[in-house]
Amino acid sequence: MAHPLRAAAGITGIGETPVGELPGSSALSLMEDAALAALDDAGLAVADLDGLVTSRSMVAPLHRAAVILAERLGMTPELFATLEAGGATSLQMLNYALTAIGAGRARHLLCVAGDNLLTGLSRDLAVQAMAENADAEFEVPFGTFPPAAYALAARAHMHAYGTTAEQLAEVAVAARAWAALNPAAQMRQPLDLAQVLAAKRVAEPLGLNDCALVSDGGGAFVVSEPSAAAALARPPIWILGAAEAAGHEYITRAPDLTSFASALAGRRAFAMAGCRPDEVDLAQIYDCFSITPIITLEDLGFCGKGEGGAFIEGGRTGPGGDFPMNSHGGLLSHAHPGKPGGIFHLTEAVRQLRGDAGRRQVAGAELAVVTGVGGMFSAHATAILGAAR
Amino acid sequence: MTAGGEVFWDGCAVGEFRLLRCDGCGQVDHMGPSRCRRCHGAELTWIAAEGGGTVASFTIVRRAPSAGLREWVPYGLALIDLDEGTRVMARLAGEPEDWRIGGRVRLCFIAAGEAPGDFAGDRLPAFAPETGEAACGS
Repeated sequence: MAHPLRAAAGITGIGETPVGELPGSSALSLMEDAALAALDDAGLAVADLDGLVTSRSMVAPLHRAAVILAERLGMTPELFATLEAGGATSLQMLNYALTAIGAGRARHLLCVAGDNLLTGLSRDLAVQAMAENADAEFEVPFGTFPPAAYALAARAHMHAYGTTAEQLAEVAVAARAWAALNPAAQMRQPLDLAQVLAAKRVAEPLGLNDCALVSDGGGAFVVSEPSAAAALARPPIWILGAAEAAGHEYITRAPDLTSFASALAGRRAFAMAGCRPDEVDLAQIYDCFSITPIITLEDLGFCGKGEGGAFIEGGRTGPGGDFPMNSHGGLLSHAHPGKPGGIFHLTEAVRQLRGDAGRRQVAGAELAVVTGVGGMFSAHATAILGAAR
Repeated sequence: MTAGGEVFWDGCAVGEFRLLRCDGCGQVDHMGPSRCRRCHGAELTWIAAEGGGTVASFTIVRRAPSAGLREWVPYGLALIDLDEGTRVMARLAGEPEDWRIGGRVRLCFIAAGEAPGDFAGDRLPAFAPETGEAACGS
């Protein structure tokens, strides 16, 4: 029997702000801009919404961000939630909206994330953000920060399975090749394997190009109940599967450094959608560091454990390759505004499934997988989106 | 600081790497939980680690995460599986060419300067390869 929430809602609108360095922007201004763009794309007005879901800002102390945004937009929402799962928040917002709509609590919900991490993050806030990702008493004093935690996983993967620095570099090179085709991307100048390998190391084995950008930017999407979606101008992109899984919070506690709760989130999402990884046309895989997609693709079952490096080799995830991945350029080359980072993986998947991706269009894209990771491989979410129900 | 953090860093000041052992089930744990993570018992006793362990993974940090650490890069950061059966984060000491996953290491303490959290002082736990002579250096 099909899962009761399979295709119980669809994405009817997407919106994005510019990304990169946006002087004068704030988390709230970026969320407002993205929200209105998504509503415009859906052909809806604020008055049509039953509620909204937001993520937190790392820059602005927006407690109850959803309430603040509702006030700004002039709405009195029945449902309002501010979620926190780091880079998995965008897909957690999607899952929240799907669940609420599937339960009959709403017809249209708006999901919004935005932050000005590049222009707004002072040194104090940056240190605080670092501390948010590690235990303040048992990890931070040793000088850990996100690149170091992901480097621990990368080295463990290299040691256990023979994954190479060249394979890690391929992830960054493919992301840049896609970004070169995306006028909206923050980093578009050419990048080759030799440059990635020669770049300064941040935390060995990870170098500068193995690490996500720091950006300002925001995104939003509208999730709609099927009959409400049918009244709109464009067909929705269906949410066929959406699932989450939380493992450890701190990298010291990770039971395994080469496989994470992404395996559970992935298995749950594919089971709900009733499809297999080999049926997917486009993979939008969270790429905070180059090691992340390699491990995630294994955990999701695209290849066996330890085969992720070989799986992405030979440019096959880049433009023209037979396994298109992160066609907007990813966190590595499009943008990474922090907690909202993963929202662009989702909006790009919708764009591709609508056939609207222009020069980046993946021919015949009908089924996409999107993943998000929060913390140090800690919180995971996976969504399966389809052009058809 | 939490009560657990205070006991741990007080231990470092006197040359001990302190762990918690559950009085109920015997599980040894790190990071100062208030209850045993296996049986949820609330009776926990502090013990000092014997000091031996194995490297689960490590990295060499070359770009300082904060201004206070800028003069200390590069440094080795590792996850160590202690012989007591729990995993801990610590610095690596000794020669980087001796650092390897699966390698045996032994506890020592290094001067770390102004570490983030600023309570580590000059007694920061580190682990040095057992092969290294005078591994913790000066």
